[in-house]
Amino acid sequence: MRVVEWVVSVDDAHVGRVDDVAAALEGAGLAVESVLSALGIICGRADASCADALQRIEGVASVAPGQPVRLDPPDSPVQ
Amino acid sequence: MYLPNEPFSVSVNPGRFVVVFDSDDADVLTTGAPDYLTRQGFSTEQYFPRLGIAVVEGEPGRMTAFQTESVDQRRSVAVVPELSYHVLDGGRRRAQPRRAAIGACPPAPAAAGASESAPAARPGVPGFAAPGADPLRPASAAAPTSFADTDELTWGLQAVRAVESGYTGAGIRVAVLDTGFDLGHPDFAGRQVTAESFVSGEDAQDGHGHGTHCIGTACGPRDPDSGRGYGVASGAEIYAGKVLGNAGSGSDATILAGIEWALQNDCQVVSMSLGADVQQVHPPYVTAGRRALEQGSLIVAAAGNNARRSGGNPGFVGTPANSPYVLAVGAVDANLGIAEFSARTLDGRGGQVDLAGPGVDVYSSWPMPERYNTISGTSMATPHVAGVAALLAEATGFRGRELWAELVQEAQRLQLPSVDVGSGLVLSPPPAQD
Repeated sequence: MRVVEWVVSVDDAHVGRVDDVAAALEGAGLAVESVLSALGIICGRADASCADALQRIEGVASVAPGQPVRLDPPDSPVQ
Repeated sequence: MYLPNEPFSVSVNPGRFVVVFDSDDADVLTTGAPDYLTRQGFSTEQYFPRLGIAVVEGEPGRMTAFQTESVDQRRSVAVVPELSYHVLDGGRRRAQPRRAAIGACPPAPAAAGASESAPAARPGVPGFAAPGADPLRPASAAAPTSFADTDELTWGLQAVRAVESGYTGAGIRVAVLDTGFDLGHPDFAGRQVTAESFVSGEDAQDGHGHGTHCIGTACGPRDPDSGRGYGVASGAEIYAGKVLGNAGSGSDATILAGIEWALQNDCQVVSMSLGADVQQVHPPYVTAGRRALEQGSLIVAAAGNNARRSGGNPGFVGTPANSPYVLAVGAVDANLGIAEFSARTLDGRGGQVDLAGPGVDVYSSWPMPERYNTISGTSMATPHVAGVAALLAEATGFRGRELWAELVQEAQRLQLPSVDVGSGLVLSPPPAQD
């Protein structure tokens, strides 16, 4: 079991019911960490194998693994 | 019909003039303008109310008087001779070559033998708006192509014409999602700053420097107590969202939380000098960019620094800048050349560089005690665009997609491939007219 960050986008038809979609995602195994209602996006953690189960939830437009971002160190001439 | 390969000539129609009413007021265009023409003794048979343009007949002297009187009444009316365009018969080509034919015509009616007092000879009259030219952006001499920092201003502020604009971003909220902000920086004393951290275990104070530098470029002062001015939207309200930790790293969850916060706070511009060198479009930023635009907020993001052009590697636009609803910013140097590191357009929808901004040797604020730092990157170009977006948002009232379109339309075209600089160098709006 390998727990990863998932970012779930809610489709336009469900953007006004993000909390309902989040609850359904919880039921499918996602430990919800943030519900961004203006964006219609839900972030959380679940096993790396959960993508298909999350994708099947009604109202889900896309399920993507979280992507890290890293800046160069402060003393780098190009940032 | 216009035949692109046919030579053509232009001639003046004596005694016929085009009258242009430069107004956005629907009442003026539908009733005011035609009533005015009627009172002046002109026919309104060929008045086009949706355009605010009429074609009328009159003697050149009469038209000059009409123009003068309109100016005296502070009406934005322009009068020019009507022109005709003739395709030249290929077998019976006229004596004038095409280039000479065009050059010989306007300005008329002087060219048509009219008197010196012809209306088109009055472009310097206050209130006179030359038709065909946007009155908000007077035609200027060739734009400079080389800049240098002075004691007064960074080269970047000069290149984007921030000070000349007169606009400062007043009333506009700019969110910079980055490593936070040096909340005690003396150059920002008295400024309206709202700061929030989305990084677990860290407050909004900038422990890296990158965020303070980007906020300085987007919203810093133009006339600080010490050193040169470096901030584009010096009157904008600052929203400093810390989405990258002091070590410079962050995740989708923190970045998206920052975008959400910016939307909740009605920030019209969101500047994100961050990204990953990943070619694949990341779905959350497609969603976030689109919903931000729908809510009147424009997200601008750095194209990326993954090019090594001298080594033949032009790089590619990474995520989130490669999302179709996120405006991607490349970097140019002080000679308006493409920066060595600035990423090129990535094939596929959304992968294009949309605009370029000053991104080489950019002087801006840095956490105390250093106070200032000069660094390079598409990260530095991005807040130049964000700052200009704030000026344009103030000047035009445009938001979201309209603001995006205005930025792209008003950019200064460069002699560089569009895959590197998109529509060119971002430019501030021209000064407001009385």
